[in-house]
Amino acid sequence: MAKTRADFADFNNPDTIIGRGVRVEGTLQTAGDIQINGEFKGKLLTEADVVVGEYAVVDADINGQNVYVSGEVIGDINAFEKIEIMETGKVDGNVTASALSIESGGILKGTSTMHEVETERPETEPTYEVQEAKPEEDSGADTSA
Amino acid sequence: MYLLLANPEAGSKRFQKIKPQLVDYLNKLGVRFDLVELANLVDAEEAMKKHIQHATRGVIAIGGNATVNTVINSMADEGMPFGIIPIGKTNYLAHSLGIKGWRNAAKLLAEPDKIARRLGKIGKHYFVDKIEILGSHNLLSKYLKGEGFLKKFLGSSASSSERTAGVNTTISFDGTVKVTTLVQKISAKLNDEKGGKKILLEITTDDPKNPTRLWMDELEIEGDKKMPVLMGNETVAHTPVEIKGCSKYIELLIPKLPAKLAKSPKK
Repeated sequence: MAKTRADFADFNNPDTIIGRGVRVEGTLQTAGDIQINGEFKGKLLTEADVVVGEYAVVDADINGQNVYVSGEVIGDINAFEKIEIMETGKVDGNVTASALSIESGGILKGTSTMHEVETERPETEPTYEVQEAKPEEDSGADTSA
Repeated sequence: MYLLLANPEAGSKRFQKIKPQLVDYLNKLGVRFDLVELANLVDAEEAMKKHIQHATRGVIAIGGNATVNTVINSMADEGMPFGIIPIGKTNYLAHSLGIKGWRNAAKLLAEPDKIARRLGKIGKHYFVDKIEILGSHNLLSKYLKGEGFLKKFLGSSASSSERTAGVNTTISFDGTVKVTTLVQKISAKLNDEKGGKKILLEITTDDPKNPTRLWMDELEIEGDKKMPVLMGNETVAHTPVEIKGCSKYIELLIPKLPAKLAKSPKK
């Protein structure tokens, strides 16, 4: 999941990386993936994915498509799709996503809320035949009270 | 007609040696030009104003990095295409555009292609492509990384602290974000694409396997020591410095792509 330097060699790649030993503070809003291996404090917003590396410390609310946590996050995480807390990951905050997975060893200290996922109900064929009732034949008997 | 602005001092006065051949070659190619030899680079702006009305096809800098930087700054507001005939010791912009040697550069003037490149500003100084800021400005620490004769003289037993020299730096960008780290090198590259952020900043710390890459429109850089700001190999400023990506573009004259490549579809 963690991308290498070669992955980011393409200038047209809109991704953001915060390397180890680098501290960033403020509101970071981008269009591409965000990978954090250093320290971040503030607010993170992206339409793409967020990866919190094993040695990263993030003191911020995170909003993204998918969020993968191997380091430490102090703040709320809101993912449009899924949140994965890896075995070295630690989240101290509330999480909201369509799907949540926590590996053995991963820690979540907070509440989790799942998005309601709207799916189309599949059409199914009935397992029995519906027989239409045949209309009664007119026998001429007077049935009026 | 092109306006050719030549720096006679560039490349150890190489212009005087090649001038007759260059003029002859341009005439043979059918390239019309007005050649102006600058007494010194400070005169570039005045020469531009005096001769610009003749430059219907563009302005060409004949020289190295310093000449190119000076001419770009003189003509950035003119809206003219810009070209290079490299004769200096180093010409990083010509090299990055695929312009090799004065003959090839002169040849492309007959039938050039054009590419629009975004302009950036360091203070009031325009630049194209990218600038670099060196944190390991200490000459001794640079050579201790094995780049020069001094390492052989001192041996390879330099301590790790001497090898990992850098400058404690603060970078503020887009009004809301602040970055602090130990910097060995910063590269600010201009994004030519319209829409999106104008500058891609790459920071190299003492751990080169861990890059930092950030997108922004403008930034300020300040370190606990002065760091040189380089365009090619020319120092144009020192930190603290403000850098901006402009909305303005400059048209650069480049070699025509071979027909085979020009028709290749984009992946």
